[in-house]
Amino acid sequence: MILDNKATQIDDLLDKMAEEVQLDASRYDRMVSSYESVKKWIDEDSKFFQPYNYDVYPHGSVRILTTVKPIATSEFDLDITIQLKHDTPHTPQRIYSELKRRLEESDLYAPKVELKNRCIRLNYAGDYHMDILPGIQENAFDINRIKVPDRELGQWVSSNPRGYANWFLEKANLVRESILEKAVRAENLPADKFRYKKPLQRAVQLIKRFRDIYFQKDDTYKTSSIILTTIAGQFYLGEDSIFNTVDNIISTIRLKVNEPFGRLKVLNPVNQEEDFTDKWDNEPEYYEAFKKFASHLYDDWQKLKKENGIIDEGNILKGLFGDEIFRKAQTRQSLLVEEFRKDKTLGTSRATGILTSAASIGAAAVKSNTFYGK
Amino acid sequence: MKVSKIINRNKTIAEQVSAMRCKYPQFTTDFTSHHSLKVKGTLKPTARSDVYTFVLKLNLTDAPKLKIISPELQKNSKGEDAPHLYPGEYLCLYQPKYCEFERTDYLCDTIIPWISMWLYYYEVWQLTDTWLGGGEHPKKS
Repeated sequence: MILDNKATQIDDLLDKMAEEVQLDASRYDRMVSSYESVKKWIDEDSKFFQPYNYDVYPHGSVRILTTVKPIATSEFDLDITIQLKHDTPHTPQRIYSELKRRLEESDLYAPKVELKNRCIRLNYAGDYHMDILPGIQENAFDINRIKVPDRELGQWVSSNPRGYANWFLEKANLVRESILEKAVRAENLPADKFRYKKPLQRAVQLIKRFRDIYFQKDDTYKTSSIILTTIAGQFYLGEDSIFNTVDNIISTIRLKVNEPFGRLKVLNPVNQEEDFTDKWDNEPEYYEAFKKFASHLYDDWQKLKKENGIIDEGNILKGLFGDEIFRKAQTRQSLLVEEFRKDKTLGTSRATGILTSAASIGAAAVKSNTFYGK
Repeated sequence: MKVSKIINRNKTIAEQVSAMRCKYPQFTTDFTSHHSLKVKGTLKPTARSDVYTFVLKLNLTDAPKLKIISPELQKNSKGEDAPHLYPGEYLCLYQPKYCEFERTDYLCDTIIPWISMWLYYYEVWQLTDTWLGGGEHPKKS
C-alpha cells in the first residue's frame, strides 16, 4: 500500500501530478491520426516524394514521453522528421521547398502552413501544431544523423533528433524497476502503467511544469525544454524514485553552477560540438534566470525532505506545480483508498495508525463505517 | 456457554480495557470508574502525516466520545470547519442507526482504525477542500 511508505506516498503523488500535466489520450489520438494523414498525403506525391525512399517519424517530447501541457496557450508540439535516404540527389533546400509545395497543394493543409527556420509548421489552431523537419541522412553509417536546411544561415546543418531520443530513453531505462512498480506489484496489480513512464521521464515533466509556472509572469529568459531535458538525462544516475531523481538533478545543478570557474554547459549528447546553452555567453541573463529557477526548486525540494506533515507538504507542492493539478492528483490517490475500503482490504497499522493493507503484518482490518454528523 | 454467545454479548469495561491494552500497549488505557474508561494515544494516518493525539472516553450508558487534542483541528482554506464532527469537536465515526458500533464490539477493533481513517480524510480535506471519505449528514431540522 502506497500510503504506508514515505517514499511511495510522495512518489505516487508526483507520478499522478505528472500524469495530470501530460498530453491527454484523446489529443494524442487526434495528433496521431493527423500525423498519419499528413504522411499519407506526402506518400501520394507523384511529383517528388513518391519515388524516393524515406522515413517519417516523430521526435521530441512525444517520442520520449515527456510532454507537458503549456499553461497559457493550450497547444502541444508534435515534432516530425521526414528523413530521405543518404544518396538522395537533392539539396536540403530543395526538399524543404518540395515539402512546402506538397502541403500547399492540399486544401486542408494550405491554410495551416507556417514556414519556420528549419521546419514547416502545421497549425491545428487551439489544439496542437505539427513541426515537420525535412532532412537527408548525412552518411551511410549513421541512420539517425541528418542534414536539415537552416534558412537563416542559408545552408544545411547537422541534426540528430532520433539519436537524441535514443540517448534519453537509454538513460531513462537505467532503472530496472521503480519503487512504484515494486509497490504495485506487491499488491498484485498490473504494473504496466509505469512501464513507459520511468522516474526520469516523470522528473523531466515535473521540472518543465515548474519551469512553466516559475516563468509564467515573465518568460523573457525562460529556460528551454531541450536544456532541461538534457541536463536531467546527463545527471540522472538511475534512481528508482521520482523524488530522488529530481533531488539528484537539482543538487548536481547546484554543484555545477557553484564551481568557481566557467559556467554550466549543456552539450548535445549526440553532437558534442553543439552547446544548447551557447546563448548564455552573449546573454548572461538567461543563465542568471536559470540559476535562480534551479535554486528555487532546490530549496523547496529540501523542505520536502523534512517532517512537515502532508498538509504543509501539500502546500509546497501546490506552489511548485500548481494548485489544480495537486488537488486532482491528491483526489485520485484518495480514491484508491476508497477502493481498498470498499473491497474490505483496508487496514491500519497497530503500531502507528498508518493506513495499510489489511493483510500486512501487525495490521487491524478496518470494519465498514459511515462517517456521520455535521 | 456457547462461544457465539460470549462473542455476541455486551463487553464490560474490564474487557474493553484489557483488549485495548493487549492490542495497543503503547496507548494509556485507564478505568475512570466501574462503568467508564479513558484511552489516550497517538496515531498518524499515513507515513508522511502529522502525529495526532486523541482521547477516547467510553461510559457504558453512552456512545464512545472521541476528540483530537493535538494538533488542534484547523479550518480549511475556504474557512470552513471540518465535516463529520459533533458539537464539541467529537469525531463522528459511524452512523448509529446502521449499528456499525454496538456494545458487543471492541473499541480497539472498530473505533481505533476509524480514527486513522477520519484523520486521513481530514488531511485530504485540508488539501483539497473536499471530504472524500463519504458518509451521511443529519437532516437539518
